[in-house]
Amino acid sequence: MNTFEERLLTELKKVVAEREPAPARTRFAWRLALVPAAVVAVTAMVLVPHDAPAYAVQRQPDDTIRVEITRLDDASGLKRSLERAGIPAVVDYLPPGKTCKKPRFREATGGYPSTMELRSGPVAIFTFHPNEFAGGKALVLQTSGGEGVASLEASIADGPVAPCEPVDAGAGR
Amino acid sequence: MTSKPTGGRMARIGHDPIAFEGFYREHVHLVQRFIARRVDDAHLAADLTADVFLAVIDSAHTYRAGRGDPVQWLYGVARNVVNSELRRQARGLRATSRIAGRALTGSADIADIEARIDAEAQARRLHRAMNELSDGDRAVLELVALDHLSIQDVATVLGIRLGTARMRLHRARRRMQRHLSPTETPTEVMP
Repeated sequence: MNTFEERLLTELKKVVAEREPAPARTRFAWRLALVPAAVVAVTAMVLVPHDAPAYAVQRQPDDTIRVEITRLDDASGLKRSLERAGIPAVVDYLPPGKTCKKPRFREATGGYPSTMELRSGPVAIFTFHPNEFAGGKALVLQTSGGEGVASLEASIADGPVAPCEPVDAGAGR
Repeated sequence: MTSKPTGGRMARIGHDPIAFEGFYREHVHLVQRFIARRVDDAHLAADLTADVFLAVIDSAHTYRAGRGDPVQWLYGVARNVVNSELRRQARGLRATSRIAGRALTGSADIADIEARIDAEAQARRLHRAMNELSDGDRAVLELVALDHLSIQDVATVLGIRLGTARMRLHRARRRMQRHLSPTETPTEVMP
């Protein structure tokens, strides 16, 4: 590298060093597509026994709703549970290789940091606050073409969500 | 395309100087060549080199391995930075940056940058001629004809479908026929 490139590197490294460390984020080999700004708080993957229920929706002491998905079964049951917890939701589980045609909704722009915490294991955990869904917003959970819960994509839609039109994954974006 | 830095490393380059240094050393020449294909002023090229890497630092956390490899991502960032600056310049403006690249150059560095700029004269003529294209068509043709990306890579960089990229390329080529050599083909794979 020439002098300019070395000097520039020195200046840029100062900029990097002055920045706050990013939120802890583990690497994940498979794809969990998550719309960063609109997804609230923490997503975690943990190990659970194989015969666990397909999902659990729980209100926590701080009024946030914790959604735990272990298997892609009973999408309509999950939708009803989320709505009982105050989160309007659209849930679409498609077979591997398929995804919903995009665009199907306008993504909400939120000021939430995209903190994600992922560990290996067949569970997707999302935590949301019902207040985030005021004003016609809805949680959209859909598979993005992969297999199992790792292919789940969580987004917050601002306004109506079009019905899922299955297309081949890869052609869907 | 190579994909040496992993998603984890990409996430670190925004806050880990060592991780950033590795990425910078690997890609600084690619970025400077990209700029030389679009800009003929050595001082501005130095500024833009700094701007592109500042944008890399700011947006490294947005990198997603599933949407392309780090080089494809870098091309997207570089395109945004350079094009915004060219648009500002067209309006007689220059953004102030946290690092003025030109202030870090000596005469030998300027000579290096000018040599790179001279080597890309043909690409810049083409770049200027593309003004008559729509933004979408232009983006595809730029990456194919100037940067020699494959059409698949272009689709990934721009986040569009392969079929859309092909259609735009076809349309852009038809309109630009007189500027492109008849043998122009996207053969070089991204470094």
